[in-house]
Amino acid sequence: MKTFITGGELIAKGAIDAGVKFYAGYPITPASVIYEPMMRELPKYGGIAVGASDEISAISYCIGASLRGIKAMTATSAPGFSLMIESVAYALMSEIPIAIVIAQRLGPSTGAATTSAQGDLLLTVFSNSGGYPIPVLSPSNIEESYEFMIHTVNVSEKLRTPAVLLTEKEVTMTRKGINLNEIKKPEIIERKKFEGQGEFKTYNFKEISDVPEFSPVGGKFLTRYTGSAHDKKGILKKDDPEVIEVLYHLKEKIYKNMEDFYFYEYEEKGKDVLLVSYGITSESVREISDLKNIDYLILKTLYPLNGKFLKDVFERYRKIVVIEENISGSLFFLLRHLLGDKGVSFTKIGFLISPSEIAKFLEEL
Amino acid sequence: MDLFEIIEKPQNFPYCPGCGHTLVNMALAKAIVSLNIPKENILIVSDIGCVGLVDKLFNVHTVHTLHGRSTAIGTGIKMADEILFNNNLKTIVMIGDGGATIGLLHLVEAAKMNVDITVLIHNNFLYGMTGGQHSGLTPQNFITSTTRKGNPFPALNIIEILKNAGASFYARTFVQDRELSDIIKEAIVHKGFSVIEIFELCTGYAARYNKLKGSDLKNILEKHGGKIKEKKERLSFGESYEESIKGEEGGYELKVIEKEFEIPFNKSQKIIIAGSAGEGVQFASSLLALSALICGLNSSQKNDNPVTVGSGFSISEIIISKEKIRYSGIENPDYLIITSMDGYKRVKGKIMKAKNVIIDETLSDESKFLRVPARKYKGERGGPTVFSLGVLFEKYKIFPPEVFLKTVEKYGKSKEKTIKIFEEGRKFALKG
Ligand code: SF4
Repeated sequence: MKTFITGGELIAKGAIDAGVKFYAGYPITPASVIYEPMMRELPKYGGIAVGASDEISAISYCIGASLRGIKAMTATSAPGFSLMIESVAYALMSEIPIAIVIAQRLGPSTGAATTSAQGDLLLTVFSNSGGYPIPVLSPSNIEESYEFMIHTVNVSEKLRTPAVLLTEKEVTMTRKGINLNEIKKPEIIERKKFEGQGEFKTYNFKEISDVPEFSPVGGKFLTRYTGSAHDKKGILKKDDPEVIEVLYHLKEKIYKNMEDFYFYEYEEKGKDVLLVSYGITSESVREISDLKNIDYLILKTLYPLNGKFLKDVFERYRKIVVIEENISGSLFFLLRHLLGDKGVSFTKIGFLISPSEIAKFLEEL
Repeated sequence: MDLFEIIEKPQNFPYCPGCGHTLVNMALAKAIVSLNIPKENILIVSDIGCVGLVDKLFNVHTVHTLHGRSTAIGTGIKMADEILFNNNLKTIVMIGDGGATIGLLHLVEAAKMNVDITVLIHNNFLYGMTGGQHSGLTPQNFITSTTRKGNPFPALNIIEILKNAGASFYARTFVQDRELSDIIKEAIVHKGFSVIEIFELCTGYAARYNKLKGSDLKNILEKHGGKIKEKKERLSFGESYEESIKGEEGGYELKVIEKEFEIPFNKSQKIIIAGSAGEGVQFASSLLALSALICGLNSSQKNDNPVTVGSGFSISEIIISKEKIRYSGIENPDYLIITSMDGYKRVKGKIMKAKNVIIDETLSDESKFLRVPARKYKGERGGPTVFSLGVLFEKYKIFPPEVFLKTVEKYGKSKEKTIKIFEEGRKFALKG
């Protein structure tokens, strides 16, 4: 059985099936194809979907709903995400789960709304003041957009963090006939709640990498949420070792708890050249790999990186070609310390990178 | 309830001596105590600035936010609380000059939607925490650290703005007003958006620069609209929202495309359809992609258009294949269908690479191309595309025509017209 659907609609369906009950949005191509089905469908599930007057309002409403204990999300593109960045850092510091979809289009600035691109990886990964990590996942085709929306909500709820699903116009807006059994549904993860064991502190943890148990504003236990430097109780402070400990915890919490969320697709054919890519460009990589029998690695978790695994894989190759649709090689930049001098960057903007262009690049290598 | 069960003793407040914030906090605490609301049902959302130091003074739920965003975050909390919980959470947003101006749009939206929050605007005419700089609420001629000769511009009348935005409870007063606590009480009880602008003095800067005493506040208030308090009956956010989604039920079902035909099909086909935006190119093209699906094949439709949907080109790239489709672009089309000049300009570069070109007769004299009168049908939405598809089906036998007819019957819009134009296209192909 097939359905004929865009990635945007599959993302909306994934969000709803992940348990998202609050959506606030502001239209922007190519993310409006998520906003519209959320407005249409979420009320049927007893959820709230609202239009906001700008992207800052949208993400702030989501943060509010999440503080009340509801899974919340929004979707935008780089111009909108640029406005949201301050609030993303706020959610990170206040340990508020929230899922954000970024549908990439050609930049910089407003660029070209209807042209696909992969230029916002570094903006997303390094968007937080202070240099703290947020998980960034990416579906490698339309079929996976449902599954990875669920993973994104899951990781954000499990780690109490903002998390980004980074995708592209050609995933959100291209319509494709898809076999229903190709659409995979991961198990849904719920936020761990404080149930009254011991003293409640808004940001309590034993091990530095522990995720504090959540209690909502308006719940039984009085909460103190804050985006300013604070101790475990959420009291605004500066000169206290606990404040520094909380900050280290924000980093360790992400790096130490990603095991279940490192997603990739590795096709090993025993050759000495490896193609590396992500997002919609992966489709061209798969096609050329089939045709010419070339190894490839598709990253579906773009941040944090699973350094040990990547090092292991990269060691097996003589040349590693990182293929992406942007102007300066963002993924290449992110992987550079692991690639050493084996790495080669192949980039292009304006149109999808085609399998034949990859083939030509490899011939000239 | 004892007052000091919910608020710290004033001697422990972090504000400068004589700062108006102390009085507002005490008035708020009194209002809460006198309403006898359980602590768990009170939330204070604070902004940045001296006013943002309020969190740890209150023993209730607190959320300390970003500059200006407190109203929006409070709005999100209350939206969820009103609709998805039992609507018990009294949400009080505490902002100063900066919170009011940075967050102006959030205030306007909350007032417009009548979200059930209470906003206390601590208007002390400047930014205290950062050193007494002038703000959007600084009165004309007022001296601040950045307007040493007096502010050249008048203050924003924030209550007037929010009243016009639809605030269902709005009040303006000054901090020594004996009724302040009662007004706050009324605002908290009010169902819907309530805002109180409270004129107060920043003793750290405003009083010093302008040689003001607390007793001068009343004068300043008189000059800026005077004391007011108004209430209106309006549906709250939750009531309006629930009204708007009444009867919405069912689930988000993915539309299943049933297989209707078994036809032999070997080599994948790549078709580009290029026309003008606003002429239904993409919808009509989807009928071709769906035709493939009802034959049990795979198909993808990658669309392209400029920013507006009503002008310029509109392109659909359709791939039909027995195998799984990966790269969804088309470099060497099997068929290139061009129905307008906009489309022609966009795909010119691909004409030489196309195996077959079907083009509107007004666009080219080239005899290698199949020239068709597609634009004759531009009066119908999707007309030029559907006509060309009629040609494609008849001349190149890409699928039997019944497949298209069935697709239209199941998934089409204005079905009769679509079928009529398709048949015209077939007829044209037969004749030619
Ligand atoms: S600087 Fe002004 S606003 Fe801040 S505490 Fe002192 S008097 Fe109050």
